Amino acid sequence: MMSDTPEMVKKVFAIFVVGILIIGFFMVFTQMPKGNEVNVNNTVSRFYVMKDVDHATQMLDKGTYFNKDMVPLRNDVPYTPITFGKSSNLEDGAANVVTSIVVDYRGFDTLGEVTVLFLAASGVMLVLHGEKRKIPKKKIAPSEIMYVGTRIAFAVIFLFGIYVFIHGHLTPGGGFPGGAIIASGILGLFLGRQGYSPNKAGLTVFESLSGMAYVIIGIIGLVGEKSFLANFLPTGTIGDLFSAGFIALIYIAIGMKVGSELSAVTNAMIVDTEED
Amino acid sequence: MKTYNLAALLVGVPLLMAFSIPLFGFISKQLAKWITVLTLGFEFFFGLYIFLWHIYPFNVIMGNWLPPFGENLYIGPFATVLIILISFVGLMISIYNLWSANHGDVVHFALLFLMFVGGSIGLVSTGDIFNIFIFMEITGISSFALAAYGPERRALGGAFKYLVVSSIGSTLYLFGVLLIYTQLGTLNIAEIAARISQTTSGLLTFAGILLVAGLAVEAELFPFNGWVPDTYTGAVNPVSATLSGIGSVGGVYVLFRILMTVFGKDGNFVSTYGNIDLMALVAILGSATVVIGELSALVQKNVKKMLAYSSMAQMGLVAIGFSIGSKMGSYAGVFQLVNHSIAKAMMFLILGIIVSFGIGEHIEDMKGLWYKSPFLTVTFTIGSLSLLGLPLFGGFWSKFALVDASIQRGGWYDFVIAIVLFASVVEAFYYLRIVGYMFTSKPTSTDKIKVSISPAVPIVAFSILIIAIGVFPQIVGGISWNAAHELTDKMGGYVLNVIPTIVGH
Repeated sequence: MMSDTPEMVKKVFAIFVVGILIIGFFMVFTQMPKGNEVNVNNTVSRFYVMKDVDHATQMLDKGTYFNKDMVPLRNDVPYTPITFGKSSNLEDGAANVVTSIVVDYRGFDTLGEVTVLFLAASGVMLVLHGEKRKIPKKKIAPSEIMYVGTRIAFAVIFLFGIYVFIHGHLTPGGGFPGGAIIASGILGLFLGRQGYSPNKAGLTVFESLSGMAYVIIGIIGLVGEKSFLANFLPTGTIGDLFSAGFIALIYIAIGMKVGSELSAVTNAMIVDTEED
Repeated sequence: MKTYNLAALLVGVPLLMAFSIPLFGFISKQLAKWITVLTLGFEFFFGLYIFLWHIYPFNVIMGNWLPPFGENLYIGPFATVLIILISFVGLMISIYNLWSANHGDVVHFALLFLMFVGGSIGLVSTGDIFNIFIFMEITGISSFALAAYGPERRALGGAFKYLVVSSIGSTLYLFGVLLIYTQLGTLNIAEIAARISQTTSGLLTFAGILLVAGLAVEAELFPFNGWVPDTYTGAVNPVSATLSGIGSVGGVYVLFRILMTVFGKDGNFVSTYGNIDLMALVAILGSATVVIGELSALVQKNVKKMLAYSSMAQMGLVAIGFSIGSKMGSYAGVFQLVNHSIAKAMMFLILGIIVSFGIGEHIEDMKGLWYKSPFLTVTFTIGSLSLLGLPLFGGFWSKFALVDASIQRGGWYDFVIAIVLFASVVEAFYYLRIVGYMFTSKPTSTDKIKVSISPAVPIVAFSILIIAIGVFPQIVGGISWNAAHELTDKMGGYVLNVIPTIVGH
């Protein structure tokens, strides 16, 4: 039915819809408050300024924090400076604040994101299943330098990837970049060798076990701390390798998962195109 | 605030089993399919436990961070009824898949199917507006791959169309969430709902339009539903049943959770904050969907395409029901959602059996089905009669409530009565045409269709449920009424159950 519509009508309709969207977009700017007129009470969650969820929760229970004339930037809020390498038993304990939000406060979202990647990889395998696969023959065989170079680089890249995801709670990075780094090492092996193929079953096992590890860490939290994905380890001293509780464990699981998943996707997507 | 953290297993167990399915797949492909049956059985009985022991409404706290600081699931009456519905339909289709899914990479198919159902359960239970986006991605990505599964080339075209439209939709949703976040600095639905009036109304309007546009893709509302006919026709029948019976449920849930709980302004009839009333906008979109969907279904000669357009039209009716904004209207919406989901899933499954015996999808091919298989004919008739709203079948009660709610609202909504009745007449025409062909015409060949046990179980269960709801509407009616209360009374029904001390202003 839709295909009978003349081309012109479709275009006019599309321009109309896009026009409405653009007008709506610019209408918003006319109503935006100016920078110096912004009321922090409105634009920021009042609890944000507490920088301490435990403390804010106590205030929440008393119900005083939703008064209309409450000023969030208060002087009487206790604030203790945090020193790298000294402060211990903090609420979260991760030196990298992004990590602490991604894995601890909003760990459930991250579990979802890991699943999204897993599903995308599975979907690629489902759609590409049954395609004729031959390990492609390169027209020009990789040179000796390439062959040796990728093998040496692989070891370094692999170690670096592991380093990145183990130190996710201390330095920028974490499980997702770490896994991607490992997968890039595997990609190097594809480029550097004639007819390289990784152990597919091994990748699947690795992928499944690391995904299950994440959920099992969550269930341990449910059993031990009465809440799914709750931190069940001590948070330690900020800046230490063994700090921030279960963040490092989760990032190890994510790193292994992302690494094996991206490698498997790379492997699945290499199909002989038969150009000649 | 009542908490029951064990219910995190509703999301945790499907995830754990989905990750483990590739391992079971090494042992046997059949085992992978059985894992989906067992997992969804667990979900269904957990849902029944929450319902029958009346544990709802409760919160599930994630990671010991109380809302609004961390993430939470909120399982009220609306979420409970949808969890039971989704897991029941999912369980039945997974039993059907034991028989039907034999082609290609069965292990990954089972995995994606399980995660689609699990993701939908997460979608209807989460209490965080960004977490909704995550679950939309989970259901979206698994459904693209599911829609492309199957031996036919046309599946790929439908899946690709769906991928493009749905990705744009979820991006628009993300923009909308972003705009709200810049204004209020929180992602928790309850806190946003309590403080929504503090935002700039122009920005709120634009964010609302983005959210409606993004969610209408999943909820199959015109003009965002161009993907529906091609995707449903292209996908294998169990996948069409899944998309129609489960996917659209999640879409409608999120759409009206955002409109009524987050944007909603309490009153006799819920309207929304902002420069335009988004509820009225959705009512207009819903009415257009019904008219266009029914008329398109009427001219179809392909039964599967007809079911796809009919599915679109039914979702329009659901959207109209919620958008009336009264308790009765929401009740009609929830009830219609349940009826549509059960009946349409069953009809796609029946069509799957018919097609697997080499009979085509064309309307002429249905001639004389009674002589080949009385079982399939009778169940198909039950589904049709429920969808067109005959008394003693489930669909009657929801359409009755829809008309009742429109009369109560009056004014502009008098047109809705006309639309619902018009839709019923058109539906009656095209469904009874097929049913008439099935019973009256003599078949060209008299090969009997022998239905084996595993596809018969879901069809029997669905048709018994349709008649049970038709005779005893209180099975669904009671909890639908509670769900309607949750939607129309946003502070008492939702916000205060999540953050008890919050003050709305």
